[in-house]
Amino acid sequence: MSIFLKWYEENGSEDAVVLSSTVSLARNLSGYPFSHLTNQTEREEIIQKITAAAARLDRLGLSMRTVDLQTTEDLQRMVLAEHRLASREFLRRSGGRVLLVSGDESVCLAIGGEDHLLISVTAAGLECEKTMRLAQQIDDLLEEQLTFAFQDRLGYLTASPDHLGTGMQASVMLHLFGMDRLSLTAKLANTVSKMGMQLYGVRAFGATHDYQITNRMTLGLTEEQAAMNLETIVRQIIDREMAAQSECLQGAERFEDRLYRTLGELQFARRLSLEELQAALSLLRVGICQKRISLPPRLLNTLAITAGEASILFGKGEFLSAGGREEARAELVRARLSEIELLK
Amino acid sequence: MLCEKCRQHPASVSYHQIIDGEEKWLCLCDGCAESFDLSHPFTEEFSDFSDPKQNLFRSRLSGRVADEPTKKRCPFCESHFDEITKTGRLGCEHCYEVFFGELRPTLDHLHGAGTVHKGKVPRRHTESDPSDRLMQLKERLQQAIESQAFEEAARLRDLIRLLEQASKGGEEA
Repeated sequence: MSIFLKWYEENGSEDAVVLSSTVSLARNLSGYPFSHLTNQTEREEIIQKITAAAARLDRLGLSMRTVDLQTTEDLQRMVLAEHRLASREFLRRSGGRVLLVSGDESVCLAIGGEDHLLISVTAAGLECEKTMRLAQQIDDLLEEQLTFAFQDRLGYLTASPDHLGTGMQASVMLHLFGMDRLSLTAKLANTVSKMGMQLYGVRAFGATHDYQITNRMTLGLTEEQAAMNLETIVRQIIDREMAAQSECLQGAERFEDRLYRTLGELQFARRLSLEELQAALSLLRVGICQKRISLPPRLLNTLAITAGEASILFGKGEFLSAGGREEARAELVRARLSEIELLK
Repeated sequence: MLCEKCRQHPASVSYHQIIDGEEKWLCLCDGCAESFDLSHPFTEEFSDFSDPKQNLFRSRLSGRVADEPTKKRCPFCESHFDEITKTGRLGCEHCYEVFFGELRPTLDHLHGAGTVHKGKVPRRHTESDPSDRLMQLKERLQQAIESQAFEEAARLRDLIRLLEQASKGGEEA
């Protein structure tokens, strides 16, 4: 499982503020009702057809691992959610749902959700265009073998009319510590909603300063336009966030002291709760943005994703009490930190 | 039915929201629907790990409350328009043609009036003319009759009839 470098272990552009970019395409097979009306035979046929077509993805150098939710235990599902391979909503139900996941976890085909197929591509940092292109290539390859429901006027036909057109959702995860501190995020959400986008707080990465911005427009503009619009807006948000951080830290003489104490804690602690880790990662991220500390942001991404409660348990392969998980988490964090050279 | 917010004006819009699998329904009058803040993202419910589709995209005006409930069913998936407004999801690809008239206000509201697809077109997509599509369906009908799949044939026949009616209606308008 670990011969590939995962997407979150890679560097990305603007990755001090931007955690990740994801583009997903919703598709439905022509000739079948939408998922919520399919019977078991139809569900099995849909899975079989899409899985067979997905064999073509090896032309893009992608080898896909199959995860059948029917035979997946709860713990493993929680790991999948922590690794953000599928939404909790998708993972909640098991019958007729299958995930195909690439070795680096960047590409995921979710079969049998609200739409028959959701193609998702994720990359570290601000990479809307890159992820959009790869999603399109995957779609092209699948389309050689599958016929997707499509209409000239309405584009790709999706179960919910909200996604008609491109069926594409592009989203970017951001760490908005400064704007949160200055209570600017509600205003920001309002502003971006007028541009056809949605901003909301997420706890996927744990810390409370994480936000996701998503395009809402799918009809009337091309995939390229949607991806570019999102990137342009995110760049503006990054500038504002950097300014907000500087404002927050003005006169904060003890910031650097706090930063290094936090790092020391992570390096030496014997027990770490998830909340402690998340708060520490958030602070270190600000330190990186403000160039007060030299750490690769990918390290923070890796810790945020691999140190979740379920991932820790799964990694250990045995049941652990809360205290045991905290010990295992501290051990994992120490090991990861020892791999890098701390420059300052 | 009266608007559930002001309880003064008749309700004309149904607002449907699904949060963490729990469904919420609100029937509002035009005035209240206008002022109802559908976009505010910072409630507790929305701050959870969220599938944006699950939480936000469906939190829209899912359909006008019909003055007279329509008895029309989609011949392919047998969905009723009432069921569609209730779940916020269409039954199948054909529902978009069968219920286009009913869906139109919602589509205009969601995507802007008269907006058409500008993005990618599948390579194998050949249906540029609706009459081509009818031809394809008629071919499938012929095959179904020949292979004695009568249930399928009946569905296709109804679908063709509805699509023909719809295209005639479109020409008149």
